[in-house]
Amino acid sequence: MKRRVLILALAALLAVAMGASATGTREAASTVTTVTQLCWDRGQVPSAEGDITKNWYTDFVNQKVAALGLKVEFKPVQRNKEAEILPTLLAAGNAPDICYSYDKNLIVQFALDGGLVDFGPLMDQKSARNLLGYYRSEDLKAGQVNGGQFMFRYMNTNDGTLSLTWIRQDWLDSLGLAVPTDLDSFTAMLRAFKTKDPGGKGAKTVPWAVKKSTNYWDNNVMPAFVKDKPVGEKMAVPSPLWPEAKDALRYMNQCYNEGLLGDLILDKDDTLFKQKFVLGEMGALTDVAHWPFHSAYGELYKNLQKNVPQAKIVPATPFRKASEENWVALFRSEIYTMSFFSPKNKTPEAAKLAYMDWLASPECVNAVLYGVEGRDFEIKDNMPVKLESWNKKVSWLQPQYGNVSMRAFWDRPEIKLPTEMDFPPYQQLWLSANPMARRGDHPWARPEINAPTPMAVKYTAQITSEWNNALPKIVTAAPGKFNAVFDAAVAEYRRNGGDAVEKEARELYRKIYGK
Amino acid sequence: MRTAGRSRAVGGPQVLIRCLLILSSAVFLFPFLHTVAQSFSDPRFILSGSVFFLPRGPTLDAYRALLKDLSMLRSLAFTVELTVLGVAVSLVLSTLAAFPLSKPGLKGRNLLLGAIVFTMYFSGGLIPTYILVKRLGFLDSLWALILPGAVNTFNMVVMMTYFRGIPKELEEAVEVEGARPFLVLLRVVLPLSTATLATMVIFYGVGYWNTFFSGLLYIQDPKKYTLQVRLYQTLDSVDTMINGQLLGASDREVGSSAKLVAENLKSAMVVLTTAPIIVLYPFMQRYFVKGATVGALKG
Repeated sequence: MKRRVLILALAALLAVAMGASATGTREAASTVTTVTQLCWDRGQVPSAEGDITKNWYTDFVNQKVAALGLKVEFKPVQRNKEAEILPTLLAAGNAPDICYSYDKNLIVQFALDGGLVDFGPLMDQKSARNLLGYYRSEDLKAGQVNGGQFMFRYMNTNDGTLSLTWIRQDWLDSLGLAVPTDLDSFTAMLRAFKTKDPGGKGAKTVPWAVKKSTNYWDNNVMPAFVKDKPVGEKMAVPSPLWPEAKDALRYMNQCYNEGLLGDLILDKDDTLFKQKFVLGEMGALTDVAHWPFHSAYGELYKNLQKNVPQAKIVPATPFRKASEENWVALFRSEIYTMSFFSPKNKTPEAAKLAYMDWLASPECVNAVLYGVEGRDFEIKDNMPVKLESWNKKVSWLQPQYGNVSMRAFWDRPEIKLPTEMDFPPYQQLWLSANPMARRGDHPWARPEINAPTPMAVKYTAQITSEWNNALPKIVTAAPGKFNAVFDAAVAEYRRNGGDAVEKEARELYRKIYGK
Repeated sequence: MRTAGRSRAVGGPQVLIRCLLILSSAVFLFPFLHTVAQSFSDPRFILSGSVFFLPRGPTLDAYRALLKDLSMLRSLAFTVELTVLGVAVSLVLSTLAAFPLSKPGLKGRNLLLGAIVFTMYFSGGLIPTYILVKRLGFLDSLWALILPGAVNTFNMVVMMTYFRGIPKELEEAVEVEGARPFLVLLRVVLPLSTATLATMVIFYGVGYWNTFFSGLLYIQDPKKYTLQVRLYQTLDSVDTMINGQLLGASDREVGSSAKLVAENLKSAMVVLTTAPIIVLYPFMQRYFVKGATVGALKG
């Protein structure tokens, strides 16, 4: 008897404890429609500002959408596990009403399986005024699957984060060289850096460096060897299979064997890469444009200038043939990247559309980019200028909440679009680099293929990983062995799925674009 | 004779074995020492690659920044709560499962044991488990992190094996006094099993302390992020805390030197999340070795 009582008591205790701790209490019914929105938690919300689900911005959103009869709840997922968690949430029917993802294959598959809302039939000038005002017809088309408007694509047009080459201006000055504008002058500059050692670093000098973690060979170096304008079916083909890939990598191999390209391509986690730059031993580097300035990488330019006070850097895009168009960032210039979509569930579709439409309004877009006027920015000479509090209150919004758009636009015609004002005290230098690295200024783009790509899904991760491992071997191969190492790596790439991925890409391109 | 004996004890293979042990200890110890050194070092020395096993330009800035962050402290408190509650639940459930299964006369024992061991090799799958947890109403609660893995089959089998090795006569001595099995468990078996229980506390404790993927999957409330999820955020988002978010305005003044870089924050976070377990281990080690080996060897 005692035993039974004890067991029952234990069970009751467990049940009570579980009941007390389990959350998910339902709120009192109300006439307001609740819409849930996914957000990427990157852990960036300053603790003084609340957390990702409750802060000034979430209050601002709810204050504004209350007029539409909406209440918005934010559902975070960890940014870098989003690719694993979002499919689970979708499959379990527990995904937020408004989601976004870079995984277009996932979205297309769910759309074809009937799991997503087709906003097309719901959209008119009244219900989707902002969306239709903001998106051009080709932008909307980029989000269609079989004619249904299942996605709104995120337009990444002016962030200035494409890759380019930074060169030590003081080294150029001391040698009387101009900033190189093509491959020949760039190579000559590297040779001068090596032989004349303007930095006085002797054997430690690295004339040019690229990292292993970011493979800029195809975005940056290959454009110097591309024969035809990068448009059409060819753009759908993976870069290792381009005929120019061998020329680009041969150039890097020659640079490596000549001592012009450092062996930092072997640096596993970029630690040495940073050190070489900060210690003033690097003459040129090719990387994402804001790399020398961004605090995320340790404000490296600032640290360089502490070690070498006279050090200066200058941006360049030398990977092109003389007098030819600059095709730099060949594979990173997609205009459309992230996609917004909505899984089918009990939330009224009209309410979802109303919220999506508000997300595309100047009121929302500008709040995400600039914050609140007077507090986070002010209008000076008809241009928004960020104030002190922008960093604390606004800088973390866009990377975590996303937005239907990233391009600032104003419903006040007198206001000009601002130029990037980040990275004090290097704004002027950054401004000079920015136009070289803006996606919107690079007209070529990989073709949009809104169709299932099972071969790409099956093979891409594996062959990309194998190819990335092969790259350092190709670049550092002895001159006489380059052809054999490169050919073996490409053959392996093709054999392990590259051929199937290429065939699928070409066939889909022809099906969608006609030729 | 004594000298000869001593030299035999440390000669030849012994020296080799000791050297190998020292070397393998160093392989594990040095990365941690490097991490600790980085966490206390000035970014300038970190970026120039001159920090090895001792801090250079010693500073507590990284720790100050982390401990200033309320969300970090919240995660710490939540993880402590999860670990304490989780260990308690797991110990109770594992003991209650292991004790009857240790009795050869239990009807259907092999079937039950087979069903339990089956879960070591096959799981319900990610999505069905997620749906189950959701339907039970456990999403965003501690129970989503505790109940799906409350009984670890391996740990339960270790306990069961240990219980089986306790002399039957001891149990019979109290049974003749009229004690029921539950009382036998409480009064005889558990007092004799402290080493195994302590081992289970470590096994389960480390498991709960390191809760990560289930924390990512089942928890959407930032107030309930586990420490490992926060660690992941720190390690994975290179710009997470550096971009002025954790820092006060004074740390971000234009032209001032950066007090934090990704490396020293990451290192400090690694030290903070591993320190409690490292501190706990020496105290539990004698139980740990004894409990794990006793349970594993008796059959």
